[in-house]
Amino acid sequence: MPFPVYLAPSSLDLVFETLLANPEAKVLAGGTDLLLAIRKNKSRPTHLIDLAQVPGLDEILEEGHQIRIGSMVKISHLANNPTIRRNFPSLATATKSLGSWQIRNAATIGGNLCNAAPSAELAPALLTLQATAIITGPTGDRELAIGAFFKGPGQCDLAPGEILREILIPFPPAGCKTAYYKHSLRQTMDLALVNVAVLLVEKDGVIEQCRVALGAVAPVPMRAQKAEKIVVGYPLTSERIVQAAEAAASECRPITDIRATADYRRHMIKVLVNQALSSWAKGGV
Amino acid sequence: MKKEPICLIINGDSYDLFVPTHRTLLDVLREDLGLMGTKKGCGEGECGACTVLLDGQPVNSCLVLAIQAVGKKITTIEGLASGNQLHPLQEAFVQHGAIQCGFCSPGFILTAKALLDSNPAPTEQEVREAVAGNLCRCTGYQNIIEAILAAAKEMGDAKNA
Repeated sequence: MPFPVYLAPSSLDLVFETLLANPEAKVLAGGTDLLLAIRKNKSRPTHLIDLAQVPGLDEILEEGHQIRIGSMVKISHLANNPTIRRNFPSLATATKSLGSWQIRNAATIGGNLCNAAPSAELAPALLTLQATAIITGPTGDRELAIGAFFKGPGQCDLAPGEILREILIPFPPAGCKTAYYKHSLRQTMDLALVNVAVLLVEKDGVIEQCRVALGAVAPVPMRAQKAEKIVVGYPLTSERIVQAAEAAASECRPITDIRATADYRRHMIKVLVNQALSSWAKGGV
Repeated sequence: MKKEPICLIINGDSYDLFVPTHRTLLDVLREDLGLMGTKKGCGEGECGACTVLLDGQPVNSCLVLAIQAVGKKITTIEGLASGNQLHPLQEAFVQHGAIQCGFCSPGFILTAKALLDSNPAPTEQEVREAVAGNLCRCTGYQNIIEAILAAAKEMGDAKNA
């Protein structure tokens, strides 16, 4: 199997054209997953379309009520961005737990999402933050809620010729708190056995908004909507926390694989959701 | 096999090369240019032995195609010493017993250099987090962490002297 032909188009139009002309081509972002998959013969594209020369894909822009993150923004760039750190702590925590410094300097947000691993580090936080994927292709742009972007392990909603151009995240309302929890065997350089992100807004002693997202426990990163319903509209008591954690564990659909058993993953979802909500109740998160 | 003419800037020197587009930066450094200081460990971005700096930032050169490094300033371990004068980090690694078999040392030293360039007085925790992507099977890490902290102090003292 020859190595794919490397191309680095200088505009989006050239990217679309090259992708349409070569249906077995793959888009190259940071390369930390794709180059390895090619070397191990797990992926056999005919062409690699590097997006590095396309202008404007590596920018983080604040824009009124939202932030725009280009798909080629590196994880380390996200991790160090003051706006992200201030407004989106769960996302900032997730970026810091991805791989190593070396990997974060190469890997991109677009690559992390398009790779569509069930354990994708950034996915749970983006789900709770209600991020939108902006997809662009030969026929124009379309918007998709990030939850709908993932189709299955390694599969995302991109038609031939399309790429993920950017991620939009609305700034959370005042008083909103977010957190990201990851369980893995090693502290760094390890995929999540399970990961959990939460977002909570309280008003007058009652939880007004609650979003809980779970990773590595279903074919795609998922919202734990049963758990959310238990929490919204009530004060966050320890009884509610226990019920919500149990609901999250019951609605996830983990599998047993080389890294953990389904039962263990389910148990750890209960533990992490409990931790996340308890920490919030104690004034933390 | 498609080849491309490229120019790489390594340790301040320009190299005109004609390389297959799939060749990694690591293989170009070691096999085409004979810069053997950069080590090939796992070849999968796990061990950090192949760490080099691209525009001052550490990356695994086994996961970067040489063609992707065009236009960037590449620093390898060969670029650290000035003549016979070791870089303070290299000196500290020697003094603190942070080198045993030495295979991981170039990667550790370059990651540490990137850290100290952006954060001249890191805490022990910051050092540990920075080098989390560099594996060492000999030292148990303690002497490496001590060497990096000592080099930071040495470089800070030299600056303030």
